[in-house]
Amino acid sequence: MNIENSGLTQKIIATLLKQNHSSISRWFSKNSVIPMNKSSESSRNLRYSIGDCRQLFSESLGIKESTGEACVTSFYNFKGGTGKTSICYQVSSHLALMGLNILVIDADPQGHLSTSLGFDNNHDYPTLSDVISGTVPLDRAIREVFPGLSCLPSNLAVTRLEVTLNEMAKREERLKMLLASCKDKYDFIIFDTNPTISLLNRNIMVASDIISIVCETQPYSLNGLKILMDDMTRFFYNMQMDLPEIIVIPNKYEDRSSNAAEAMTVLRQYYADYMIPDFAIRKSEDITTSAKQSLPLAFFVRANSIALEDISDLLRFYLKRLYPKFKYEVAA
Amino acid sequence: MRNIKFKEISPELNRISAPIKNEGSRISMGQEKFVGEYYYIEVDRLVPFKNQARKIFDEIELSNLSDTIKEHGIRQPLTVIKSLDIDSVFEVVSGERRLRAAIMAGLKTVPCIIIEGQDTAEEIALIENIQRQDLHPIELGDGLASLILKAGWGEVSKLADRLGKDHSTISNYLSYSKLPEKVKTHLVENNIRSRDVLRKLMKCATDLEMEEVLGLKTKSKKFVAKSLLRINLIGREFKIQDQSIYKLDQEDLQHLKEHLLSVVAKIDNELK
Repeated sequence: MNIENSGLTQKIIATLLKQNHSSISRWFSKNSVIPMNKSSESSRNLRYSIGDCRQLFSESLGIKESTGEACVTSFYNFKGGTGKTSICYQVSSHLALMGLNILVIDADPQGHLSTSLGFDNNHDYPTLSDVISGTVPLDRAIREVFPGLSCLPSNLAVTRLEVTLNEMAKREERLKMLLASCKDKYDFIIFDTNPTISLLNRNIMVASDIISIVCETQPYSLNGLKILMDDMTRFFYNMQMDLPEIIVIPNKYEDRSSNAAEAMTVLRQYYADYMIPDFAIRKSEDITTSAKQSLPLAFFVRANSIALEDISDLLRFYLKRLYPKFKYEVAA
Repeated sequence: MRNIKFKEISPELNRISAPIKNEGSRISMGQEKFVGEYYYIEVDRLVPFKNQARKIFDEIELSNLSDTIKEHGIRQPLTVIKSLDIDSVFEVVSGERRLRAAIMAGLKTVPCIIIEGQDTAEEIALIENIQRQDLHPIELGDGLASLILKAGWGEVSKLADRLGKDHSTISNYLSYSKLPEKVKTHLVENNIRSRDVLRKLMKCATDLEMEEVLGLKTKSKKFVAKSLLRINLIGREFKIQDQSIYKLDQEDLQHLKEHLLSVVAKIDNELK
């Protein structure tokens, strides 16, 4: 996978930080950072390594040290095809690029996230299945994608988990118990799930601080959303637990579609508490290309990419959860 | 720049996507801005709600309603729920009277709002009936108890909130449902609603006591002695307590008189 050999341009970094790219340039000079490609061309094409970028972001965002306890979020929707995995991939990889310590766990037997992160479909690596059944400890199953981004990949073996979990005591809470031991090592632990209502997904919901629901701006998706909310509410009620925080992320929004506009109104009216105001992830080829190339957006898109803009706004939501006093400014 | 557009929600989309009401939200009977579409359903596809609390219909009342319906039609749609047992059949949660009256009036279809969820249906049915003053306290108590039993209805205070009644009122009714079946049946069949009687029953410790209160059980063979007349000699004074004689019936009074006369005769003997 060529991610280690890729770097970010100043313009992209500036876009992610919503800053002028001269302040980025200044930081790099001040810290004597050498770009990956010593180019005699203009500075536009210079690319900076992941390590250097993370450093810059950490300082700029004022992230001094880890918060001590990871925030767990899961991308969940029993409706398939909403773009869950794509968004999960972008959020986890970009948060890691921005200096946070991220563990992303693929809990979908289809393993698309794992593929995008560079793991072959037929890999033999330990999966969540091995970890939960106890055959492999969590820290030995985790693999590093790049410094700052670790992954627990998935494959079809994860389907066996239903049976395993079913026979355990506190069967909806096993995952939460398991994660407790590693929460201090990460800033975010992120799950990608299979579109279904299953015991594994119940475990993931119970372990989550935030449930991120990716929803398309069209009727079937909205219908699914109402059923999903009802199911989750009942589930947590029966478990005698508080509902975790929920965010609904409208996806594949098309500006010129009146159906999409209606859908946004439905979301705004009925799910206002769970929405970022005036926000939706617009339909974009870049996100598809990103998955195909196994390369997060920041590495290859133009700085004016709408996908990058939308993802970077979404990232703010998660960053703010972790650092409530956090301000998006470059400390030049 | 991202510019999200918003367009007014069409009724079709609203029907598909408006959230399901569940625990914690109030039952809003007609208080919602958009109640939902209603459908005209054939009367032979409508059956009474399985868990209906009320079962008696006044013929005259029905006939009057039927006349009104003949003139004006049905103003308020019925509330129905899809039957779990028979496909294509709906159970009438609220509006059984309207249905019967409509059939009487010769209507073939009636307007119905289809609601989802068994629990919601039972709540609506019960709430409708609670508003009626003439539901028997036992029927009410049983209805409330069955609601409490359902998953997610655990607390009395929640139930009281939902129904807009006092916590203590609901508690009271719930305690009626704990009476033995025989007692409950007797109360309902004989239309015994007196709060007094109910209170007495709640105080009884055993089934036997309850049955006695209701007069169901004949008293046991062992009779308790009842003092009718007391004559005490305190120093040189006679104290007579004879109030009990007024409680006796004619027959017993006659017997008492005879017994007293025989005592008087004995005294006469001694006086000589």
